[in-house]
Amino acid sequence: MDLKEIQNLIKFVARSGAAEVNLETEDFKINIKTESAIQSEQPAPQVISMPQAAAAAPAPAPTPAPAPSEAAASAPDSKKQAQAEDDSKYVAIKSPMIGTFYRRPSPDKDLFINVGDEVKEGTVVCIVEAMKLFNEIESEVSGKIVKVLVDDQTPIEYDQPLFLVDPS
Amino acid sequence: MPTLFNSANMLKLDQVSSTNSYLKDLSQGQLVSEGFWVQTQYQTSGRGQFGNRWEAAAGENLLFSFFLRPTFLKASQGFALNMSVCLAWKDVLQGLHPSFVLKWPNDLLFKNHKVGGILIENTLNGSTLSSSIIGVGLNVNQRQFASAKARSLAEVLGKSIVPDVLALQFQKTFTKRYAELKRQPLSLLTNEYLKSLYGYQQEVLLQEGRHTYKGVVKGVSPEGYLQVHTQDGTQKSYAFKEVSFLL
Repeated sequence: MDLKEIQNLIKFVARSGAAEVNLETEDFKINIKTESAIQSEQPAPQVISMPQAAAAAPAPAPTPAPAPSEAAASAPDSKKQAQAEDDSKYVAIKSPMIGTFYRRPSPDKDLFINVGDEVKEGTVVCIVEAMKLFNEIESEVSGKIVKVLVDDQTPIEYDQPLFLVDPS
Repeated sequence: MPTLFNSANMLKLDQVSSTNSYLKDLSQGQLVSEGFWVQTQYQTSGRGQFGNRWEAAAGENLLFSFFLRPTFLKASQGFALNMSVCLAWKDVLQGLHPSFVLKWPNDLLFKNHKVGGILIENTLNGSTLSSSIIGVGLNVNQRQFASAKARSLAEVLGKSIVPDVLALQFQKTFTKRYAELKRQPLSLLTNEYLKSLYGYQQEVLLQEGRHTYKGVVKGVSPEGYLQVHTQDGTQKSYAFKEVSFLL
């Protein structure tokens, strides 16, 4: 199962309305919990666990989908690692829902925010459209926007990092 | 029974760019209370879905937006609020004629003609909803439309209706539906929404990209995805704009 297939599976499960799906084959075991299941526990990102047992299997171990916070874990490239360390002092503004990401209030208006802009708690940073409902996302942190992680008008997943903020 | 709405919390304007935009600007400058209502005779740039215009002739229709603080809802539960607004309209319209139905996600139909639409704009704070602006455009007495599929209540019912009478009825039905949203399980709300949904357990024509096919609506997920069984037996799940109904 490649990364693309895993992504598709996650999307399918998210849309099915199921709270949790466990799938086990000879080579791997995957556990997908959706937003509804997670909400009843605690606010935590989507979990994909690859148990140790999988590594012992003769087949090539599947590449785990990297969690956003440990993006550089499987990349020995020192440059990437340095980048990750750099990013670690930043705080991500994440999407509270699945939907489409919009950086403008409407097509003829200016961007809500851009790299270099200062945001405060409560500053509207983007719109996430889901099922014709338009949701203005407010920043929960104060600081300077250092990176925009998603292209305008593209699909986003629950808990996906959208912006990096330098809180210092 | 008192409703969420009262005349001290209401603004009636002859003309405005868009009631949703007006109310949004207002709510950013001052503290707006739950149920605050802005109604107009005419919108110079009425808004439909992202960037689409909503056309309505002056004085003939019902155009309003109102303000809510549904802080009891999670960010991912916005669709439940949408369903309760739709059901409040269903209550009003089916009281006039049983052929009014809802079209996923939030259009108002008479048989296969569109008579109204809803535009919801939320503000999220962390993982909960902090405020919501509900905009409604209902064709009441207008007789001419640019779109061949649009109709007014007067056309389909064969009589004129005073728009404000419908507004008052909606205020009552929505007050009840909003109270239900706070205390009832989502499954009850979803079942009621489905019962009034165009294409539910019925074969209808759908369009996905350039492909047209017959399918049956089987349900909606908690997030609002439309679940369809296609003619050839596959199950599909759609986000808004990924599929449309051929009315």
